[in-house]
Formats: sequence, C-alpha cells, structure tokens
Amino acid sequence: MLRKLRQQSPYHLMLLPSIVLVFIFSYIPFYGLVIAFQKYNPGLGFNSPWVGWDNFSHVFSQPNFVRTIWNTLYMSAFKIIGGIIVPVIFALLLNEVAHSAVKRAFQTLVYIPNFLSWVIMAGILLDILSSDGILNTFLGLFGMEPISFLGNPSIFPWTMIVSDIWKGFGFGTVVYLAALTSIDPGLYEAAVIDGAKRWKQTIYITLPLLMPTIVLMSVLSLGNVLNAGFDQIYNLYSPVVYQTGDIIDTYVYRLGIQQAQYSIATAVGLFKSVISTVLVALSYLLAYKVAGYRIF
Amino acid sequence: MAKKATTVILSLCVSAALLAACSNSNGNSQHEASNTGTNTNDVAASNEVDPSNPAFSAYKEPVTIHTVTSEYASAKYPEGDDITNNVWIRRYKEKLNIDVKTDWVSDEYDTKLNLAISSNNLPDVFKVNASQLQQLIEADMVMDLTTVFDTYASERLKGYMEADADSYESGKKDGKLFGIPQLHWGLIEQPDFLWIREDWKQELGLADPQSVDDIKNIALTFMDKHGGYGIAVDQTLDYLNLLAIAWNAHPDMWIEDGSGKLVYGSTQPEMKAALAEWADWYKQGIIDPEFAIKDFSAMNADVVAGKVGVQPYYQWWGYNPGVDTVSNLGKDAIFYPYMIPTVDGKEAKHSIFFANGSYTVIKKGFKNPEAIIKILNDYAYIVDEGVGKESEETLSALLDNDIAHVVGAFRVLNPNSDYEQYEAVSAALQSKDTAGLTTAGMWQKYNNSVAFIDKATPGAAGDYLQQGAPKTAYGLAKKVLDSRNYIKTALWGATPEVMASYGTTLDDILTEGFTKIIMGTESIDYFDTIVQNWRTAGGDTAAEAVNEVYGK
Repeated sequence: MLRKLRQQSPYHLMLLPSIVLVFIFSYIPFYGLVIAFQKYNPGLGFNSPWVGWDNFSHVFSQPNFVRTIWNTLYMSAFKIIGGIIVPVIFALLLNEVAHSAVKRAFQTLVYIPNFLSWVIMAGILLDILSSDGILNTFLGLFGMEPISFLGNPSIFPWTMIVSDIWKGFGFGTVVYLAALTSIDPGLYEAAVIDGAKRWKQTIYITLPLLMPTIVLMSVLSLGNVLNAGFDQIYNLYSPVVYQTGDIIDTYVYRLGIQQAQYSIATAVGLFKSVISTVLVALSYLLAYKVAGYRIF
Repeated sequence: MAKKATTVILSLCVSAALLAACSNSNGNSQHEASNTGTNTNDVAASNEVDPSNPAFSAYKEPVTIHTVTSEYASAKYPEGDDITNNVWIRRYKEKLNIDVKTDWVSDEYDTKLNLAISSNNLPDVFKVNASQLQQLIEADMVMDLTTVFDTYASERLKGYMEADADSYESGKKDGKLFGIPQLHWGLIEQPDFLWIREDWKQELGLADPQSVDDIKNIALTFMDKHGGYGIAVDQTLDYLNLLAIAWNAHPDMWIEDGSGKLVYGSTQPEMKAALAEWADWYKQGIIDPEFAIKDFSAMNADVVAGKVGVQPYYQWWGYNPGVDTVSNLGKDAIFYPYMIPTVDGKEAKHSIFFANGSYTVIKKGFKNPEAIIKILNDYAYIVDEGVGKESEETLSALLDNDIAHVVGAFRVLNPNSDYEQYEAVSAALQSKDTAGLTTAGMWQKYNNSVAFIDKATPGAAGDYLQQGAPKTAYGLAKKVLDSRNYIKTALWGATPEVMASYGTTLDDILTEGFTKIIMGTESIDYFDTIVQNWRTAGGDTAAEAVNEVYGK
C-alpha cells in the first residue's frame, strides 16, 4: 500500500493544486452558509444575531413561492428531456451525411448559438418574436393572427423551453457525434451480413452503444433541475408572464439580491443545493441500477 | 446566475470572515481611539491656518483622508485625469492641504462596500445608502458627527439642512447625526407630466388637455391621423402610474387614509377606478398593445421613431428620449409637458417621494472628521457662489462635462438649487438680462436653452424643455410647489427593515395583477383579489411597520 503510494506520488502531487483550489473555493465557503440562519448585517459579519429557520419560513410563507418551484421544475424538466433527445436525433441524422464538409458545416452552425450569451440572444429573440417580427410575419402569410410568444402566459414557458434547447443542442450534438465515431465499424459490417438495414442498425447497435454517454449527460444535467435558466428568463420575462414564467432564481433575485438581503438569498441557495444533491445522488443510483452505468 | 451570485456572496462572506479575523486587533484599537476622539478638536484647531474661519481654513500640516468611490461613466476628464486624480482632488490639496487617497473604485459599489463593512476594512469617509447607514449605526462603526457638523459646517451647508429638515433628520439616530444627507436638486424635479407631441397637436388643432377624457381624445385623434397606438408606457407600469393622480390615486406611496392610518396608495379604491379606465383604453388600442413586454428602452424607441405622440413621463423627458427624438424627427417633433388633469377637470395633486438617497459617513475613530466638513463647505461654495468669485476656467474645469459629479462622498447638494436655477434662467431668457445668473448651473441651462432656440441643437433639448421652453417642466412644477398642490409620502426616511425583506415581491404582485386587469385577462373585480394577495404576502406586515415608524 505504502509502496504503491510512493510509486504514484508524482500523480498525487499533480492532483494537489486542484484539491487545494477546490478546498479553498468550494469547501471553505460552506462556512458562509451560517448566514442563512442569521439576520445578517455586514457590519456585524458572522456575529450577526441568530434567527434559526426564520429566513426559510419567510421565503416559504410567500404565497407566490410555490408556483415558482412548480414553474422551475416544469421548465427545467422539459429543457432537460429535450436537451437529451434533440441532440441525439440530430447527431444520428448528421452522422448519416456522407459529405464531410456539409457535416462539419452543420455541426459548426448549430454549435454557434451556444457561444452567445443570453443577454445578446434575448435581444435577438425579442426582435424575432415581436408582433411585427420575422416569425409572426411568416405566420401571417398563412393568415394566422400574430402570436405573443413572450407576452402570453400559456405560451411563454414553451418559448423558453424551445429557445433554450435550440441554443444549447449544438454542444450535445458534438458530444454524441464524438461518441458515434468510437463505435466499432465491425459491428455494422456484421449487422449488414445479418441483413440489418439502417433502421435496425440504429436500434440494435448505435443506440445501445450510445447509452452510456446519454446516461452520463442525463445524470450531469439532473443536478440542474432547480436551475431553469436565470439568464434566459431574466432577460425575456415581464410581469405579465410571472404566473408561468417566474422561476426560483428570478424570484429570489427580486426578493433578496436586489435589496441586498443576503440571508434570504443564502437560505434559498442552501435549499436548492440540498435538493440538487439529493437529485444527483438519486439519478446516479438509478443510472447504475437501470443502465449499469457508473461515473466513478 | 442567481446561483452564481449566491456563490459569489458566500465566498465573499468567507473571505470577509478571514479578513475580519486578521484585522480584529486592528478593530479594537480603533474603538479605543474613538474614546479619545473628543480631544481631537483642540488638536485640529492648532493645525488651522486661520482658526477664526474654521469652515474654510486650510491645514498647516497636511491631513490625509482615505475614501472609496464608484466610477461616474459620463464624466469626461481632461487628458491624464481620472476619478482618483482630478481637478477636485488637487483642489482639496491646494486650498485645504488635504490629501485624498482613493482606496478603490468599483462599479459594484454597494456590494464592494458591504464587503468592506463586513471585513471591518473601512475607509475614513464614504457614501452609503439608507440601509447601509442603519447597519453601520447598529454595528457602532460610524462616528457621531453632531458636534463636528455644528462647529465646522458653513452657514450655507447648514442652510441646506434647514431647507430639507426631514432628510437631515433621517441621517440621525436618537438625536445624534451619523450620516450627512447628500440631499438632491429639489422637490421641483418630482412632479410628473403628460408629454404631447407638439407638431401633431398643432396640425390637428387640439386644445390642451383639461380632463381625462381630453387625454383619451387627443390619443384617439393622433391614432386616426398617424396610425399606431396612442399612449407610450412600459411593462413596469411606472409610466402609466404617473397618470393615476388623475383619479387621485397615489401608487407606490404611503399616504394617510381618512382615519390617520398610513396605507399604501396602490391598494386604495382610487387605484381601482384608474385601472378600470386603463382597461378600457387598452381595449380601444390607446395603450400600446405590446406594453406588457416592452421595457424602458423599447418604449422610448417607439417615441423616437415617431410611432406615438402621448407619453406620461418625468420632468426629464427632454434628456431622454427628447434628445434622440429631436435628432431623429427634427425640432418640430418635440413634446411639451402638460399638467395631468383630474377626471373632473381640475389639476391633479402630485405625489412627492422621499428624495434623499445617500449619506456621507465617517469611520469611527477617524482623527480629522472636520476635514470632510471643510470639503463639503467648499463644494457648496463652488456650486452656489463660485460665479464671480472664481475664474471661469476654474469653474468650468470643476463643474462642466459632469466633473461636478465625480466627487463621491464629498458633496451635499442644495435642495433649492433647481428651484432657484429655474427662476433665474426663465427670468434671464425673458428679459435678456443675464445679471441674475449667479451659479455655473444657471449659465449652463441658460446657454443650452439659447442654443436650442437659435440652432435647435438636439443635445440641448433636455435643458431647454426643463427650463427654457415656452412650456417647461419646471415652469409647471414650480406652480405645483408654489400652490402646494401635492401630497408627500408618509415614509419620509429610511424604509423599515421588514419591508426590505420582501424585496420587490410585494410590488410585483400588484404590477402583475394590474397588468392582467389592463389587458383584460381579468375583470376589474380582480382588483380586490390582488389587494388581498398583497396583504397576505406581507403587505399587512409592511403597513404595520410603516405605521409604527412613521405613523402618528
């Protein structure tokens, strides 16, 4: 054991800086969580008076907080599901494109929106989706009334879901394309000999071999189930769609951050972290049980 | 991002804790120093060049002050200058022998200052907001300035405090002065107006609005002739709410109801009447059909593009969107302000809010608090008395190009300045006699008004519409103030802490609900439901707190 450790010591040394950094920036700040249980006054620092669970009950007693949890789960669930299905399908289709220049061009094109920040993207979407914007003008050609994509509470969440998937699916596509190239071509050759056509090959070879990557991506994204995309929604929402579009993060922003209510913001942050940790652990367990897959 | 923000805050807190731990010994010595603070006046006096004039006297030995500040984006410095080294900083040294050192400059001033507060790493003097002032007093970190202010403040500076005694009081706790309110340009900037596009109004031969029906008819006539919608407002309802005084409703303001209790204006029955009418306007297409998703800049973009001719707005319409409107559509497309009429054809009572936003405070234990008062005296002197006593170049360097605003903690404004300024400027424009222009600000407004009249310079539209036009915002506002045709908010000072704990969520409930009523997705009776929601969400608690602090 000791000898093994000595043999591997250069590797452990290489690991050391990141362990130290993670410790300093991710573990030490845990101490700051105490202000979730205090009435925090910057002048008094951590000696601020203790208030127990008051900050939590204050947030949870807000009548509109429950709907923000529901909105958050609703939107992030569809974003996560769509964020898995769409890139997988797109990657499968793109993989069939024989011409490699075309393939790469498409790959780049769908990846580009991923690099734009939501502030910029929101400006673009506001233009595209306005009542005299390009999309409504197009729909108008078919005699449709202009649709208020950002002002109608029943449509708004779907505008968010679709635009988020559209912006992000390029990244997933690249990941799945990479996974596809690692599939042994011998398997396809054997399948062809057995008489399998494209569709059967996809079902019985490609998808099963992609599964570990899909599970990995899903497990990673489940940690985000309580983050329905602050940047996106904050830049696109308005009071008229609070009912269906207000998420935990935007609500807490208006409740706590804007007025420097650090205790309340921290309380909600802690609440979200606990839930997310449970969800990640759960999905990890599920992935192992169902797909036999583990990250570690 | 909120998560990121939380993370940032958490890590800030932790680093703050570490710093606090390191500087604890330091903190103790400061507290000890403050015990001997009463003797510092004598020490300081022996350092005065001219002890008979303490308010303006320079020091024999240089005094050093550490401060912090935020960048002032629109200031245009001469080559080589910046916010930490400019004509003001050099003036403090030359005139008073005070070295001002800026420890840091930040765009995230409040956040960075909170960090400095929590790490007990305060500069000697700095600017705070009302809630930071309360926290600092609570934590015993700022100095009691009662004596030093009385001893060293110039007559002019004391006069400012008398002119806005309520704000002065808000800087005190238990009768002791902890924060010197920086004050404001005056209540004259508060009344709001209905702005109407002049060339359209002329073209269609429309009379000035005398009642709410007139507003509606002007908007409808504009729509007939020029298409589009009638009245420009935005999603926050802040601009539409300016019209509420026509129904004698005072949204966002704490007012006394008949029985002496303080209530929130947005939840009163008068507001319901206003909303009912607005819902009808929306149905007729008078209110922008897309207002619910338009923010401030989208709203103004339509004005600048010439899509709309009526806009309820603050007195500074001429600066934004006025400047852009004039450069885009020409001089004739200018909007003029009109008094907002009531439903029964009278002049509406205006809403006046608490105007003081920031305070200058001094760290407990600082040796030369009087040095800061001297600088404040000097600022007031330059702004109010400089013309004639200082050279034009000196004044221009200190005040023009927004250099007047780069002084951070070191200023108190004259709460009568805009009122006096308007009187002088309008008189000078009428008589062509400029003898009455005694401050640099008056000259600026006068010159710009002349520039707009002669050359229609778009950049001068702001000053022109505020003070120089045939119909000016300040002309109307002066009438409002002189006839006392306004209601002051009862919440004249810091917001009670329990209200801050709701952030903006209480107002959000109202904005969301009102928007639904206006757009017709809910009927007007929904108003009662909204008020009930508001009360249970914390409105009742807030009302209790306000009544406790400000009630009689």
